[in-house]
Amino acid sequence: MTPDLAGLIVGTLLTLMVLSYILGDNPFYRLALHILVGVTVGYGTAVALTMLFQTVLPALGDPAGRLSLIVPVVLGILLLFKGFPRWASWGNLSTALLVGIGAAVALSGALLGTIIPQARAVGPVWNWLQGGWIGLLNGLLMAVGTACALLAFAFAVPRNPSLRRLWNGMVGLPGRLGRVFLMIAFGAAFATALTASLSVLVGRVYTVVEGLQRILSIWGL
Amino acid sequence: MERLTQRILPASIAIAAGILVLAGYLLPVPFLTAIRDELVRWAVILAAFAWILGFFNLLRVHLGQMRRKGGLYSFVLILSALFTLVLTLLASLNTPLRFVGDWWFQYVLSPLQATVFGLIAIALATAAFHLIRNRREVGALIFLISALIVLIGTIPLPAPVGTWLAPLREWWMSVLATAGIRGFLIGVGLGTLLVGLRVLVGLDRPYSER
Repeated sequence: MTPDLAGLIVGTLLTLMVLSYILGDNPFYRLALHILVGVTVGYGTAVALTMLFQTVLPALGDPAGRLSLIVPVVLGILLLFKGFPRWASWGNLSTALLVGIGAAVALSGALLGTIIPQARAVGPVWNWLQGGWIGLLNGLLMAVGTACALLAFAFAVPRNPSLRRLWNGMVGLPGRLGRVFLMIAFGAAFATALTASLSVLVGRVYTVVEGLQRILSIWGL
Repeated sequence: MERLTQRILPASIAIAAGILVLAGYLLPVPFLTAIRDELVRWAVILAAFAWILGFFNLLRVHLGQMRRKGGLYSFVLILSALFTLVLTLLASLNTPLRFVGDWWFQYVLSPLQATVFGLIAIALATAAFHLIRNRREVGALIFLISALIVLIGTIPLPAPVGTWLAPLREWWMSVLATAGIRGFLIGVGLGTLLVGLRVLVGLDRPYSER
């Protein structure tokens, strides 16, 4: 038996085990899912360990590199204490550094990578006018839709009754319109995800059929 | 002393590191950019340690579950995790074993991941069916109409339906859906901004036990 044929049999079996979920939750599906989790975690750990060795080992030979690695490696070892409830607090400093840097990266990413580019992409009026009156209409629709969809997330309400009435009047109708735009967007995203996953599913079913045909032909059936 | 080690020191480290990284991203000063790069490198090393901690935690949880009912699944999970870990590490060091590592990746990990992703189609179709049955309201109707326009518009239909459905889908996606997604993304961005700011000023301290 060649490695490719063995792989084909293993891959076909695993695919069939996962696809058995179509008939309902069953032991074969659960077994395949546990294999998937195990293999994914094992692979991820191997990548993390390889990355650590590749970063730490070359730096040990260089005095300056050694110095720059002392802090993260010591903090990393302290982080491992989180696995022992008695000494878990030793890892707080490492978690704090990770959370602080993570928050800053997420904040700058949200600002520079999402808010500013998305707000800019709505575009100025002269850009809309390049497409004639249809372009202007589409541009207006997009600007109004974006603003209304954003207002659909306004959950805070002023405590003062008169201010609350004013707020509801200002945000109520645009917020409801925004929910319509959000539903349109979610419907489109749903259809796109369905199309993508359906093409992968068809590909897997095709592979299973091909695999079964090859296995049966080897057995002379 | 406990207050210093449990609250003040972790909060100071988080705030200082966060402000330095943020300044490195927002201000074009080479000195700050160098500090930012170094701190992000530290975070990557720490994230690798965190992953290893998570791996050991997973092993510990499933070792505990092995003695209970359904322990076979936990045994299989531990076995597959340890086998993949050892195999991938050996394959990265030893060239002849790379073939076995590649085989494992191609015929075990790849089919499993692809098929589970493919199963999303079944889950999505079931969810849509439940939506039609249980939520008969305007929002659900708009959601379904939008999904149908995009789905049917993808099919290359003959004229006369095909001639107006494909441009309608194009306009629907590029104007209406984009407006909704853009508002949603800006909303998520503003939420992330707020959560990040709360961590950076020390109002939220997820790293502290109290």
